[in-house]
Amino acid sequence: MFGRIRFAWVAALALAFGASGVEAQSDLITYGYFASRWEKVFDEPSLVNGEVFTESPPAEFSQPFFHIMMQQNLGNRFRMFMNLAGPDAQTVEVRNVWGEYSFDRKLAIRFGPQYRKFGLYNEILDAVPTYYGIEAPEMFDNDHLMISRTTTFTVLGSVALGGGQLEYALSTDNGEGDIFPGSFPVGWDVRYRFGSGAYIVGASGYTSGGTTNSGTALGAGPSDNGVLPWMAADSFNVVNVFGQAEVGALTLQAEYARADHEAERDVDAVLSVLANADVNTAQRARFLVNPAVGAIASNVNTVGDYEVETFYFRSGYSFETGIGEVAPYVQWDWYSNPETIRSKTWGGDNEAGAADDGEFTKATLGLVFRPIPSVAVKLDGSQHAFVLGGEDVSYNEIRFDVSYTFGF
Amino acid sequence: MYSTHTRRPMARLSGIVVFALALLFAGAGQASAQISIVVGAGSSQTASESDLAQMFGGSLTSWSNGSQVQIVDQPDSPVGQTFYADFVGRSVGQVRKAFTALLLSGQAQRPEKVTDDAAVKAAVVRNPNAVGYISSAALDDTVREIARVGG
Repeated sequence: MFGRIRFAWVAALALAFGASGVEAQSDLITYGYFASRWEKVFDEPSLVNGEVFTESPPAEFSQPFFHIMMQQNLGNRFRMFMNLAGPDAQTVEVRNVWGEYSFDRKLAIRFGPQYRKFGLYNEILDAVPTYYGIEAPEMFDNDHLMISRTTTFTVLGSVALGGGQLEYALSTDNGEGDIFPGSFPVGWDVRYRFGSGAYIVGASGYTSGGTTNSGTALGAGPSDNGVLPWMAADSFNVVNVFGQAEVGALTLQAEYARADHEAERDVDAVLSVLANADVNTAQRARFLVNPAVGAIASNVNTVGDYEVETFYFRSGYSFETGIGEVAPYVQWDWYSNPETIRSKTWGGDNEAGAADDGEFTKATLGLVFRPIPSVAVKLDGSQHAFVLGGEDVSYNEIRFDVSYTFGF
Repeated sequence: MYSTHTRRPMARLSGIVVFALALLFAGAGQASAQISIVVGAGSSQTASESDLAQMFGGSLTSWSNGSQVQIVDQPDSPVGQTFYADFVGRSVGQVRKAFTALLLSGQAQRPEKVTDDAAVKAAVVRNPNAVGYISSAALDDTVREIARVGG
């Protein structure tokens, strides 16, 4: 319903703004990519009756999926963009459909469902063939999103500064969670690009602007807006700093983000989690005033303040060979969330939530091979390390991804 | 057989001539390697050299009036190789990947890829928001030069 209203709104605005300059209308450009992925986890540890056991779940193979993007200019100042995704080769979903009106370079407005400007990756996460690595940085891992990836309205622009461009963006959210009186979420992003785009430094942030709650019901999987589903209310702020440098064929990236949550746990939700989600000792101790007493309403600790932090470093080196482009890369991710749990069904994630202290690291080594510019073959392997049952444990994962871009 | 006395002045003279010719041809080579960044003669768009380098590098996607930049590119030509190395400061491959990421996230227009100077001129004439680069020797009154590289 809301999707239809939004689409109609965008279409109406497109026609309204575009009518003034239809003579400058460009052709509708269509492009995108097809991809498929295979991944396998080896010897994943878990705790059973205080003992560490390992098992290797079956490999996962995703059916070939696709993204089809379309864009068009209507006049000099208005343009539209649409991103259609076929994530399981059976359905098609609209990831983005937005219009943008530019007053000048310093000021434009973008409206309609869109990925918010936030750090190096959020806007380009659907562009997997173009960057090193296969997986999203931890802040935008769907199992533990720090904020909602999408917004419906952005004010953006850029100004020239010292031989580069200073870009800004201010955004709202996409209606995740319930509407709480007086709350007004705001996201922001400021970045400076210089050296013809070879260097980027910036900072992003987000505030819930008051109280909010999860956009996903308890028992329906991980949250889509950074608020855990067993929270009755959560007021939170996120700050992120990032940098990227291209030095010849070498690309370096680093990003750090921190989310501070002032949250109140919902008593019934916590009791459901404790009864069904197989939480560990540390998590049980967080949720209860006195863990020795047991899971009863009067013993639930409703003060749920916590901090989430993550950092990554990524580096890739690209060079041409007689058979195509070869690009080895290394990545190191760290993520900490003491409040989450292991069960994805109950809103947790099986990485941080599996650890005693909600903390893990992931070291990745990979290779991109492009026999021709439109084909990318990626192979990488990661080692996850964390503390489980008081022991340092680790497990390995390998991933293979092949993609074909078209329309470029 | 020439004596060494008769050979040395001649050798010096021929050396000077060769050096002078080398300078001459090198100069001529530099002149022919000049590249002009152009818009259509009827276009009102203009930009600083810094802005233009960012546009071709993918980090600036609009003109100062807010119109989206339409890049007209001839990356596989000798002019293109020189242009990216000398002016943009990034390789063709790096810029291609940057633009692909921008396109897949809707942040830029798809560059129009052509093969030679004549096609660049035709493309910028068609679109007042288009900008391309050509050998300066190919300039004519259908286009307006807004910057020169290697001049």
